[in-house]
Amino acid sequence: MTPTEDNPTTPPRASSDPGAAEQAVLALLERDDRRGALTALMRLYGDAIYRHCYGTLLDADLAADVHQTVFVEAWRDLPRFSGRSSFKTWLFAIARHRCLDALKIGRRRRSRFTTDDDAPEPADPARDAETDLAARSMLPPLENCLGGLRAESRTAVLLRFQESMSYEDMGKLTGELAGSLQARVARAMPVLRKCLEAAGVSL
Amino acid sequence: MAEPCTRWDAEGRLATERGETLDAHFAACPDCLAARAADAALSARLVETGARWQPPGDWEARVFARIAREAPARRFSWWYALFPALAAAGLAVFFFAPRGGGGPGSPDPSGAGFEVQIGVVDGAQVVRSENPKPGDTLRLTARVPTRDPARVAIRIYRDDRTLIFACGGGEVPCSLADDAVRAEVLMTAPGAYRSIILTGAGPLPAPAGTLDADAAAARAAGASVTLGEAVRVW
Ligand SMILES: [Zn+2]
Repeated sequence: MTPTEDNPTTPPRASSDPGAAEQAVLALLERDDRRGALTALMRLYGDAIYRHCYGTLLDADLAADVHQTVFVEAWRDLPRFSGRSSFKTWLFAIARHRCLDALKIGRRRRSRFTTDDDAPEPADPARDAETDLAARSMLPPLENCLGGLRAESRTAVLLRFQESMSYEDMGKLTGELAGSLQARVARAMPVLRKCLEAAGVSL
Repeated sequence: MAEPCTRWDAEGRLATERGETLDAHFAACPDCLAARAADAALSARLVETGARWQPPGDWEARVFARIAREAPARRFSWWYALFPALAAAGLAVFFFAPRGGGGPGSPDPSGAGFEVQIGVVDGAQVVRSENPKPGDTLRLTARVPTRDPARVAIRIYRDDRTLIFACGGGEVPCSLADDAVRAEVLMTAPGAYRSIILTGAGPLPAPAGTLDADAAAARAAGASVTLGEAVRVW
């Protein structure tokens, strides 16, 4: 018995057994129920993918748009899903690419192709993907400070702490070594902490 | 007053992230204990903040509405992803016909003078429009508003960090065929393959290696930069 057969209107959330939930999605795909599979994936990972998009872009409208795009793409690619990764990793990979695209396009539209010289994290070799400073100043302090990190550092911190993703899984998403990602998170944390302290937030 | 101990930031956190055992210092040093507690509080704050980042209530319906709207374009879906970026840049896009299709796609009716086509090819044939795999060849053809090979360049990067193809800009000239510049590159590894096309009134800078650095250098040299969305190879 799969969870979706148990209750077709509420597929399992991510907090239930993720392996069983992924198996249920596969079973739906095998029955050619692409709509059911996408619905299950939306219920399982929709919130986490949105968090990832919002955390990368720090812009609710843009995040909502990219978030939907991720699932539209997932719909398109589901029939060819190879099973080489979990659905979760697969969706996060689509989301990561789409969010970074959106950052680039947004930055290009604002003609703010900032260089590494402007970045506040001198130790981080990842490319600068700083969000717009004027827009950021309207954000709550934690989001504002997250916006001060480069996108690669911000997403690594958020995947680590918000999604409890292992560095190995993160490495599958980004093509980087787990050790590089660990080091990036370790470097970003004091930057974030000091930024919050400077904003008067006590931890 | 003594400087506060910074060993937690310098090494303790990374050791913890690596799952290593910490030495006795970290259990006794007040500065390190405080920094560690602040990290834990920050991590809790991140979780708490993330729980407030929620998609709009009707997002699932919006996804299905978009799927319904976009369904007719699905046969072009592999390069469909390229379209928004190019359209946003005011460019026309035309498509290779998929295998078995009825001839080449049409240029955008807006008639803009700059067209880009991207496909996965085998020899002269476009063999697949969807789901590229390692070992496939990416072909990019761009009709650009100049016939001067010194004033046009194509760069293709994997994951924006690794330059895997460059022509023009004082390096090897881009190949010209049928009044278009062309790039062909074997996609050997999984990743996101993204191209930029540079056109300039003057000399174009040589590639430096990353997409951002090259785009910035081209802009600084007064060139126009067209950014393609990523083509994902799994
Ligand atoms: Zn200490």
